[in-house]
Amino acid sequence: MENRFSYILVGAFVFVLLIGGVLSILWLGHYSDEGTFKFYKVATKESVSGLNEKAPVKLRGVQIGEVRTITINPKNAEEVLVTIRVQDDAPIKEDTYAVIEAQGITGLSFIQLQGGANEAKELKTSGKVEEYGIIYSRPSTFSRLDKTITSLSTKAEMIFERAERIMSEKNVKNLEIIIENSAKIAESTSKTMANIEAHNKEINQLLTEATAAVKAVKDMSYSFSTAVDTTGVSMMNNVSKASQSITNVMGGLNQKLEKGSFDVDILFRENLMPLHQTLQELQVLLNETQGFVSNLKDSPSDLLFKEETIQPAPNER
Amino acid sequence: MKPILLAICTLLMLSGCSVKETSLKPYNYTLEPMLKLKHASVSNQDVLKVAYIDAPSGLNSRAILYKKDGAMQPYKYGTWSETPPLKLQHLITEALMDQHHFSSVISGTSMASNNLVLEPVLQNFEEVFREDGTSYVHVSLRFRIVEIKNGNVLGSIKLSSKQEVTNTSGATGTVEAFNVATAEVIHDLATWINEVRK
Repeated sequence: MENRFSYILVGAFVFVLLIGGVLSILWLGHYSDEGTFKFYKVATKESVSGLNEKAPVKLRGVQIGEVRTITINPKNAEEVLVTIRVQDDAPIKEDTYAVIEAQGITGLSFIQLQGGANEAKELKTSGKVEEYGIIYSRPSTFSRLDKTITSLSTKAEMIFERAERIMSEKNVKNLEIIIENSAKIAESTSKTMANIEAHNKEINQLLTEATAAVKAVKDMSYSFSTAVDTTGVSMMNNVSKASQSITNVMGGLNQKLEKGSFDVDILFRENLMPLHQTLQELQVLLNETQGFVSNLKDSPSDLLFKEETIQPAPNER
Repeated sequence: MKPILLAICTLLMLSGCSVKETSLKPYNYTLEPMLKLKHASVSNQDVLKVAYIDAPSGLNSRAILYKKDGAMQPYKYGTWSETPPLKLQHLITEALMDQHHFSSVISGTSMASNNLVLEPVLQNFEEVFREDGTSYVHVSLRFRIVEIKNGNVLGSIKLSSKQEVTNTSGATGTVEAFNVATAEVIHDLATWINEVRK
């Protein structure tokens, strides 16, 4: 009898516990639905992997709601629409934006609402699904990091590719030649600089002399200017008079030339032709003198004793 | 007084030492080819100047030259009255003038204007003795006719003549042969120049 009672008691306890558990689950489930809420749609073009229904929605780190549905925008295949439910008193402004962020290392994500200045207007929403207010998302930190890394990677790849091209065998060889030539140029420049330094003293001396010369020229110019000022006028008058005299002489000469009394051609012919004849005779005389001198050279005593005589021709004997 | 006497004595001594050759004075011969060219059938308006004849210095003397054993020697008892180049220039001028082919033919010393120049070059004017004692004269000249206006050489020719010396009585026979040879050369020149400048 005692055992039967205890079994009934245990069974009743377990039953009550089970009913209590179910009730507490129902109570807890209905608890979160208590209060008033408003709905928005978060539009994002990022991947929403890791974001599940009931995932928290936080505003500046404070949980204010949860994700209700996640769908692809039927009008835009590139866009995902996440319906969120937030507390009615949560300040969702027109400049509020959403960021999908990861929850630690679990792989789960949540929606972080940011922005929303005090002076901004409240984002309007409605109870109808079609008229929910839309909160646009911005790339998450991870996404930005991913994009940045991808971009950096692409650029690095490009740089490496170009570097590989630049550092081709041919270019390396050319670079070697350039470096070698640069070394030669540097050496040459060094020598030139040494020479310039060596000649610096002479250049300085030359510059000094040039400065002195310029000064002398300046002084001379001043003297010349003074001379022109003082004596130049009278000199120019004299030159003018001389020029007038020459003009007169040339005029007279021209008149004579026009009259034919001073024909250069005739004068030239009259004097040159007899001269030409005289020169011919002089040439003959020179030839004979040359022969005479030649004979005298061979036999100087002929001048007095005339030992050498011309032999008669074969038909003169 | 003493220096004067000394000078007179010295002069007498020197004149006594000097030798005056008592031989014949050389005769002067003139080149006279006695040339008579025919009158040209056609004439032109050209004025031709015969330039002074260019000659080697050996030929530009009054000596009558002969060549024996390759050596040039002068005749002892005969000389030209004028140098052969000068005489030849006059002979050529006169001969071409008498031909009346050109409007006028003038010598190198003339003041007249001319449009043509005849430039002769005397190359040979000597007697050549052979080994057997016989001889011939050789007269050779090159002629160029030049138009003054543009300096063009219209023609060039070498004319020569060799004549045997038949009269062997000294330079006289040689001069006769020279006259014949010269006449032949001038005749050939006239024929050629009439063809070059018609």
